[in-house]
Amino acid sequence: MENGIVISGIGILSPLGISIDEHLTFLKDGKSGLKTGSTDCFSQNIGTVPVFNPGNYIENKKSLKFFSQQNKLGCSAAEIAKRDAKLTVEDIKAESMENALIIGAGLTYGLRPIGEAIIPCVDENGDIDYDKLGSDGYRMLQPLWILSRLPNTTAGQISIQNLIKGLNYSIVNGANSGIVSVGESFLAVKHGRAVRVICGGTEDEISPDFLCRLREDSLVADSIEDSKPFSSESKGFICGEGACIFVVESKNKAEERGATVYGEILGYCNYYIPDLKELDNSADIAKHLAKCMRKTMEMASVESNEIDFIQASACGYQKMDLAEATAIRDVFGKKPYITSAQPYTGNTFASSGAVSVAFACMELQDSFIAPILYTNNLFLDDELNYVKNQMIENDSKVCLINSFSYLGEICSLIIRKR
Amino acid sequence: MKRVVVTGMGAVTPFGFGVDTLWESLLKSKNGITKISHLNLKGDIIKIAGCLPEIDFEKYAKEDSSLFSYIPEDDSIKSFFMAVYEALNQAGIDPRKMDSTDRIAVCIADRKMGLINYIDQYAPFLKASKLEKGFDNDKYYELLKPLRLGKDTYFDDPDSINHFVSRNYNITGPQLSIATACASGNNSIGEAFFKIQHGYVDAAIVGGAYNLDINSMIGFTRIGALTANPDPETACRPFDKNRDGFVMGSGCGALILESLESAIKREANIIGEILGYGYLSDAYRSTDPDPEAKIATATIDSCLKMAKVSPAEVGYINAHGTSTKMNDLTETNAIKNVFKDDAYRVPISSTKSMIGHSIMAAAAIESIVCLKTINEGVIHPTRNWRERDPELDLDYVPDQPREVKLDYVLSNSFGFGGQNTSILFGKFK
Repeated sequence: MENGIVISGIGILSPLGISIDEHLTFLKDGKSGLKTGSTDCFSQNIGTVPVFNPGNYIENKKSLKFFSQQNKLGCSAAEIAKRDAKLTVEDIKAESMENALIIGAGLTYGLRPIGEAIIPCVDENGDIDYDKLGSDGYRMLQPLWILSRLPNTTAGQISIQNLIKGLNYSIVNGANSGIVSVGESFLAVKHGRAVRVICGGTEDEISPDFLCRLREDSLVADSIEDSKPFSSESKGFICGEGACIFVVESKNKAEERGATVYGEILGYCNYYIPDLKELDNSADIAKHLAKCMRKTMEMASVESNEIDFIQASACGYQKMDLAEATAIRDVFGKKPYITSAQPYTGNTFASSGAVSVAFACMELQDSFIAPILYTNNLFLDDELNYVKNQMIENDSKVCLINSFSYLGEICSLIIRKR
Repeated sequence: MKRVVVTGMGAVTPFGFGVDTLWESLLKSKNGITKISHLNLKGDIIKIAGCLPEIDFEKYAKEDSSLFSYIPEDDSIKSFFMAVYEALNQAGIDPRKMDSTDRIAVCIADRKMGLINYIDQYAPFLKASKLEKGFDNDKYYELLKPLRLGKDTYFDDPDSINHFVSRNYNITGPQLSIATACASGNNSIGEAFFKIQHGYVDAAIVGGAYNLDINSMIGFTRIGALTANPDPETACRPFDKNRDGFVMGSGCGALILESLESAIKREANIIGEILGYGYLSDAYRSTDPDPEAKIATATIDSCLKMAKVSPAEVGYINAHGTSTKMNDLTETNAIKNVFKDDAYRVPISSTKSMIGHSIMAAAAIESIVCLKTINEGVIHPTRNWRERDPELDLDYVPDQPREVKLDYVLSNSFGFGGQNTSILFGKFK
């Protein structure tokens, strides 16, 4: 059998937990990790990663002092992925310049971090005393504070901790950062730029000011009850925290170590919709999405009737969800099952596409498809094959994963069970 | 694999708008570093930098009525966009008139300014939400909520310059926003080079863009990377004995890369060719480069090998040359490791000596300088190189520009997080 490029390790931290087992339990039970209850309260309507100790995964404890949430989640996820792949630092050292990092990094932190310096310098009138800021205020920040604000620090720290000396770059493509990182890693291994890439996405804390900006654009729902991907009842998405990192390498390399081969990456496509803000007609948006999915199948040499299920992008933002439903119908008809990660985790931005890839891997590996968690008013319900309420057991072979961002970046990836 | 050429360049630098403005100023060894006037910096926070120039946007908007159709009223974004406009004009490409733009990638490294420009408006709400220990997110949210009702000035558009370029020029091809700190521009050029080589796209708008804000000035002051010398004339002195830190900069460099086939088909003027791309990481420390420069050495070496060019053939090195103690020493050592005896022959200069370090934009602007050097046969000097550091004994081209005949130029960029990159440009033959 030919030597494909596979996912051989997963480290995922999301509102569902920090282990694959926790994720499998939630997905199979059809249970969301988002809390329910009160409306329009910030902390109750954000999907948060359960409390965990990053010190269990990050060797250099001193670095935790200046780490952002994004750094902690990303470095921890990388270590979990590495362990899952049965990969050791010794394995990496043996060919350190052939091991690479492509990490999607998210920046949802708003003004909170600089607030540490600013707050002590705000006078009774609410004005910033800039003299004080320049003499004392800025010293409130850790000396290495700027590193936690640079998008490439997570990748840099993973590199240092694991002696990864090859290709190393971070991607700041907003909500598509994670999936683009997996796609680019696939290409990097395919063209021999690396034997192995640690890749995926990691998002920072969700700051209230960042959330307010999303609300200004009518993108988010005020409560979890109002966020229903693929439903015409949905009023927007819910923000979630998360990081999801993979080990991507050749199948042979993975099997040499006895690692689980979750799936083989077959194709990847990345496009942009320049006039998304102006497009009101879902059919017009759907054309772009259909083009992206078709191009991915072309690269993967897969026909539309071979796609068994679609790990959809749908996040609860009606404009994109309806367009995605339309595009899926136009390209695939009713055959493939459709599910989405976002009812479970919320929109984890930079890690969201990677989370979808991870869910697809778990579903392929464990022969099931997780349900979307409600049934009312689903777009094109009669014409599509949504997995509703309960998971189905299904020996799927090929999965298409979409990540279609509200900012117009659109990306698809195809994975085959090996 | 396809050959990849450069057919357009655009720059906005502290010297002003345009590649010619940049080039002429560099040859005159002008100083682009000034006191920062657009930010309220007091006390110990460093107050000098290479700042974005004023540009008469109206003039260009009149020339091309749809030019800024999708560009926000933000001087940073508008300035960055002007560099792309110049580059596309030079390349003779107007994506707005193309049937399909699926095969044009947009890979300009930039950084979201986020909400920092509104820090004065938010400050009282941040303070009111501070708890004795920690921070009350719910309260902060409650305080901010009323602001969203029609007060647009409280909210910034966080999109990348890539989005605005694609919207304005109606480009449907892939976007890649790369962040590798001070090496971002080189990685953006290099990754687009890879995509064109392997036929994933035919052309790419690449580069880097950066502007200063309070976050960056405070952060880089706090980490101690900037020189405390307050004199804009002498603060930045790469490779000089008395160098003691870098000076921040800002600007945008944009390049149009395309496959040779595409350029020939369009009968485009070819400015130069990209031949090599080195990309490795130190895995050493967050802020310090490896003093032995092992990986920087391997990066330059792999770049030359990819290009199939020997050190003896390299006619000029545009250095990372930041003016910090460590960078200039380790870069010198890396050059010596790779070039051996040729290290003492090859002229090296630092563009940052005149415009400061524009972080994500730096490598892109320096690539433009490399291509001008190849085409004009002149090397710009390193400004403020006055006294030799005994450990830095290479030819840093002090004082005067130098006429040379050359075919190959190397551009180095290194960054926090152990990022090492090199690009090799060649005269198009």
